Amino acid sequence: MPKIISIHSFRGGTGKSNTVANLAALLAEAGRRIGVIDTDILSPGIHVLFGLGEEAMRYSLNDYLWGKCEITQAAHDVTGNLGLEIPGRVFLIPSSIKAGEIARILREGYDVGLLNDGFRDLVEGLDLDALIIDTHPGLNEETLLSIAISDMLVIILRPDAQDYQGTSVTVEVARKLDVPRLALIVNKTPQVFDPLEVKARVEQAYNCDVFAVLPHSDEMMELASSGVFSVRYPNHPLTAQLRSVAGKLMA
Amino acid sequence: MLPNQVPLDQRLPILKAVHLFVQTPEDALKEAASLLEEIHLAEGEMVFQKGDPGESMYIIAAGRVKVHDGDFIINYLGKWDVFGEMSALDPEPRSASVTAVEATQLFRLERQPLYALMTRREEVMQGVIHILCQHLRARVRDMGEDFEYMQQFARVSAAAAAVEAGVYEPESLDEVSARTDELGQLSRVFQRMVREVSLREQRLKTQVAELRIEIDEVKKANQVAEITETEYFQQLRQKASSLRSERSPRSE
Repeated sequence: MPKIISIHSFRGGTGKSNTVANLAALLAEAGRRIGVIDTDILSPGIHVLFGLGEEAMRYSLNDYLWGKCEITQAAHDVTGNLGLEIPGRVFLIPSSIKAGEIARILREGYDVGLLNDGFRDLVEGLDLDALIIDTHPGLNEETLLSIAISDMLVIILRPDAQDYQGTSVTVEVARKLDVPRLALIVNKTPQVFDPLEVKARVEQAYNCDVFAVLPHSDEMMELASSGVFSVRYPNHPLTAQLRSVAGKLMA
Repeated sequence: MLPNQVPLDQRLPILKAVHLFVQTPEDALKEAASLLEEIHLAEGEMVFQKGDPGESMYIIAAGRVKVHDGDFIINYLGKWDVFGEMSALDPEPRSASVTAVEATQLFRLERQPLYALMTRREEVMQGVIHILCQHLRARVRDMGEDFEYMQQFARVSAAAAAVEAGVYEPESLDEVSARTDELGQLSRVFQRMVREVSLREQRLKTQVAELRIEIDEVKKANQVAEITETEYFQQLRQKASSLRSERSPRSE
């Protein structure tokens, strides 16, 4: 059964888009057909990781929401940009990066309900194994909708006080929406922390699965947004951890 | 090398080299000089062996000897050096062997004639007692310094134990650190290292504090309510399960 998976974080800067890109690439590497939709309409970013430039964007999520195109027309096959012979597929549905179009969304808003139809059309139209929604930080309407219709919500947090607090709110809200599966990823963990200790504490605090405790990685920071880490460093221990998370997404 | 049977006036400066006689007046020394027995040794010839009864002191007039214990060489002695001083005052078995390493000329002063001289000439006795007292005082002073050194050393090791127990006070080593010797340096290095380690530990504690997950439940309840009490959320909640199930049958 195809899955819709929301990946969210309460605040920006947790490495959410990076994690989404890596998980999508690793799933495609395992032969899956994966859609990635950037619903972070106000501050889009994941297209950079997949090497999709403005000139290559035929249509964006914004065009779909304004009725200019079908959602599948806004899907870009970025598998080739990953730079590997990959048996699966990664389709990216980007948000527009044109300032005017971002401003228009801010000014006019859009029918959030359209998102739901769009997600469904994508899964069916592209014959996806999974659609990963890269959500906007915080809990606005489209994020709540994304969470509501997802089969799984993965919340990414850093081990710090603000993220702990914000994550507790998201977890509570997601439970009220009866999300079938809920999991956490602790990212950018300082090297001095014992990952097992972090996992145990976070699981206990939220009564929720922790898929991984990922370390702060200098290589990942260095690569920043110029590529997908797991593709560049296939044998890195961090990639192995991400691969195991990818497996859990589809389990 | 001095000629055999060194004349008396040449023996005088040799006797002045003996620490015990530093305080002895010259005319008394002349008497002592006549008591000196001249000895000539060839290279490799032994003066005495470890364990031999010792009842005399020796002054090297020329040549060189080694002080040794079997093959182990403790020291070399040369012209004007004196050995066995104490044996001449108080007999005791030799604590080491002495052997000439080249042709050597020695003067020996035996205990019996020395004591006879001391009985005859009170000044010799007083001089010897004075020097012995000085020796003794110096030894007591040395021991005092050794004791202080050991006490300060103990302070460094006590400081190490205090660090382990978490009750270390850096000032406890200030006095030891003021020393200019190696112990002082050890103490300063120790103080610095503990300072650095405790800084690092402090940083680590801060980070571990961040690992403690504290959630403000009141704030959380307010934030959750702010979202869930909206009309949008209520509708979404009602629709959520149907939205999901709407998708599922078709995909299966």
